[in-house]
Amino acid sequence: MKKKYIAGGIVIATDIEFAELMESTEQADVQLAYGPVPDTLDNTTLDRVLVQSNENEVLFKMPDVAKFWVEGDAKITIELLDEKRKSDAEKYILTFILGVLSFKKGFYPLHGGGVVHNGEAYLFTGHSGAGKSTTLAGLTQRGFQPLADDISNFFVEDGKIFVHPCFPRFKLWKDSMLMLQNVGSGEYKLGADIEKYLVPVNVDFPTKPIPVKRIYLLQREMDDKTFFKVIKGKEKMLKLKQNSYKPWMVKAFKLDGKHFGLMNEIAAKVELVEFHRPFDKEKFSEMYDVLIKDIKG
Amino acid sequence: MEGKRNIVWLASFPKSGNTWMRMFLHAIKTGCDSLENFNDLEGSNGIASARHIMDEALGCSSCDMPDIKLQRLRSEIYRVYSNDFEGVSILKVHDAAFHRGILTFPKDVTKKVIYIVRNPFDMVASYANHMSCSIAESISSLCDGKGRLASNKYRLDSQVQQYMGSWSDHYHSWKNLYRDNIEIVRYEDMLNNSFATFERVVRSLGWTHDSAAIEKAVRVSDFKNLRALEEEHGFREKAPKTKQFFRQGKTGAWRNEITAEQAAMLVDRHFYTLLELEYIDANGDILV
Repeated sequence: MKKKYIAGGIVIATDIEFAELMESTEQADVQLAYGPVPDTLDNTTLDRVLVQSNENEVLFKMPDVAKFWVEGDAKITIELLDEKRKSDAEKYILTFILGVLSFKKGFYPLHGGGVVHNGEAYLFTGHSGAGKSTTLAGLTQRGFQPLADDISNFFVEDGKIFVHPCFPRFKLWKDSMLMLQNVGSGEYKLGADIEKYLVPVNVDFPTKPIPVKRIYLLQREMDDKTFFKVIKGKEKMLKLKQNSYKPWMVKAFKLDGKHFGLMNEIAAKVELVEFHRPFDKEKFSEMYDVLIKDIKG
Repeated sequence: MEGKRNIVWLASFPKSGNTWMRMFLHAIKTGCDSLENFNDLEGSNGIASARHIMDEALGCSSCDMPDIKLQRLRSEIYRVYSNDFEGVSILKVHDAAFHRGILTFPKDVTKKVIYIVRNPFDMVASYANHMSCSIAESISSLCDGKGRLASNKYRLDSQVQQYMGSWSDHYHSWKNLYRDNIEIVRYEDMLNNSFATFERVVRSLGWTHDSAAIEKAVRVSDFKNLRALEEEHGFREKAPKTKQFFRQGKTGAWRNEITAEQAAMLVDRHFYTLLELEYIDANGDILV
């Protein structure tokens, strides 16, 4: 394998070129290569429309693009369904496949990204369309250092909660990109047939894990109100469970006990705050002011 | 994979009384005394086009693929959803029943279709308000066969794109596909003949609630109550940049909202459907 890359604390060795990822000199956790991929798996613990898994393997089929096969926690194979979609296929390593590996490596992968302030991480999560990437890119424009978009891998060390930086790209829809001019440069499409772009981050990107201070759970308010609500008690665990990257993976990979223990520690040590944000773009500037004030205390 | 025939589709063109019906079904199912929590109804399971339904059934993120590709997978998505769901799920739907010959809502997952239809003369103003567009644009959407929701491909919506087609196409897509398993409900009958209309819906679902329970649910979900609740608490499903979701709820208000030419355009375009639903007579005279 020619190169080693790191994303979310996972080192991938491969011949494939990933301009998106930071190179690493550490020992590889995973080998990634092209090769034959089966059409189905045996003894499945989960059958979804595009994904099958059993205790050790995951099969992901993106129609017209490629099939992906994750064996154990150390081998990924890609088989193209259309040679012309090679570039699109490789992007799925940065999204879905990275999510699979994150669980298999024992992290709590939060579905969302974050920024750094005073050496501490502030994460943003929420359902698809809640505005995670747009919020992150907007905060970066306002001087914050980004550390991840889409997947943020949490772990515990010496009783403290840390998050690994992921890779220095924002995933932005065209609308957000136009709104957040100069957030980065050299953007390119995530797939030939969608208007979603990977935008290189044009500020320093952290390379070491960051202690986690707070998670914001984004909620879009149709009547454009902006307010915070602190989440406590049992609800905190529920929200963490709901906002991990593809929560079904916990059960499919039989990680319940380990994952629950990690979430429990996160719930005990990290603040969780609902941030209700406006829908109307004209109110975003005001929204960022409120959010920055909250982060800066 | 076969479904469990456990989904009730509440199908309609937008602004036809779908949410009102959903509130009623929640009230009858739970026997609640009030709909104060109407922003978070447990008895109803939201809208079929919600991205979280797609993501859970796909196993991956729907936002990483174009809508047309997703459209081809919708049937299989609802089969997975049906198998995952314990009990009966009530889902609101604004899509037409099929698109470009592709079936979206398979029969093997379907317990029943409740199709709610409202006369287009009253609907256009409400739809224009909901979509923040002009009355003329609203009429075009009902007539030109290109009606879509969440169709902006440049941003991520919490719902996937929904193809509706014209007002007539939408009605016929559901009626023709589900001919033997559909209850067609006119909004005007929900308003003017509430008990009998809602009782018919309850019976069509095979539910055995008595008259007192139905009367109570009709009262709790009364349109005026819903409007008052929205004024007090706000309503999460209200479209951005609009004042309210529950507007007038009246029949015949179109006479002050659209022109005679616009009404005639609707009659011309939808003549046979309007006649079938008794919104016009054989001479084309409007009856609502």
